[in-house]
Amino acid sequence: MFKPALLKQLIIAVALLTLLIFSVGSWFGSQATLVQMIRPTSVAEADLFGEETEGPPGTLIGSPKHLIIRSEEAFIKTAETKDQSGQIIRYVSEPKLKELGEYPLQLKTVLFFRNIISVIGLFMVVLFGFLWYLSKKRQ
Amino acid sequence: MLKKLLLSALILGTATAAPVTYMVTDQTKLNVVTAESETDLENFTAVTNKVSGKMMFDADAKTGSGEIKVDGKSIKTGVELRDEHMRGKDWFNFDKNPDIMFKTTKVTHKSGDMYNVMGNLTLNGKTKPITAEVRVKLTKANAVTKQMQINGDVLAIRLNFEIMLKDFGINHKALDAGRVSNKMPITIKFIASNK
Repeated sequence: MFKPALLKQLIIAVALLTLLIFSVGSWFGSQATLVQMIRPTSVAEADLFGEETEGPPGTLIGSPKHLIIRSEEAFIKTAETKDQSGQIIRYVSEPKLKELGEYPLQLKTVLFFRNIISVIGLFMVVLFGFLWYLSKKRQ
Repeated sequence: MLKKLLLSALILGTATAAPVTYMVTDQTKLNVVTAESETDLENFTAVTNKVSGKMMFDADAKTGSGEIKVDGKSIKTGVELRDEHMRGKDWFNFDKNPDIMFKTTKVTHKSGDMYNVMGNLTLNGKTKPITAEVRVKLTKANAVTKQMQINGDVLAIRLNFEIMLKDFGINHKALDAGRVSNKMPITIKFIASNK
């Protein structure tokens, strides 16, 4: 049904494409930073709630996440803390990010698509490999 | 004379110990409601600042009660299509039941500004009892609060609690498949004042 030479080319193409997507996904994922979104307030406003936080004054929006943020100006300069495992958490101004029109991509999303595409790619390589083996055997 | 003095002291004592009514202010910058959702694709935080309500707080007895309302329709997740889905009947049905209500039933002082608050939460038309960890901080009216355009004494409240979506009649197939976590941590922060 399929020519072995064509299948061989297909296997190489799919394997290379999968490797490329995996590499690009991994590189993209490596750009992620552990980030805590914050809605900044003044010290006096934060004092009203009496919360002891290590970071800048403001309301925390959700919990820390690994995000890929391209707009460096959204980061609150010199504001960093560490999570329980000692990893550095950088603070990002939620309103500033909105103002800049950036919806940050999550590491989780990048890895999800990288892994899905890689699994499909590997499955296709195995499938074409099997078909190549069968067609080779028939010859 | 002594009797009169004692009586006056008692009346004064009772007067200062009386619970004070505080109304949630429209401090849109400081009033923030967040709900975190964990999915297999991404974790997102839904946010709104539309909170209203009324609180009774007795600073001496360290107790109180209250009722707060959050406008579910105003909640944003950062993705318009997801907001639309959230308002729909498959999820929170805010189009039909826009109000998220919380009414306290029991307030227990823990230590400092921390309280354990039991109450009934109404979401998606279903009411369930929940327990929240609450921080209540009272600040007497001063030049700084005035500058913030808050009249009277300021009651800053932060509630933290978790809900199980299925308890509130949310039965989307993504929950059964484990693609979306059934557990949702919620934080409600707001400023109330007595004037």
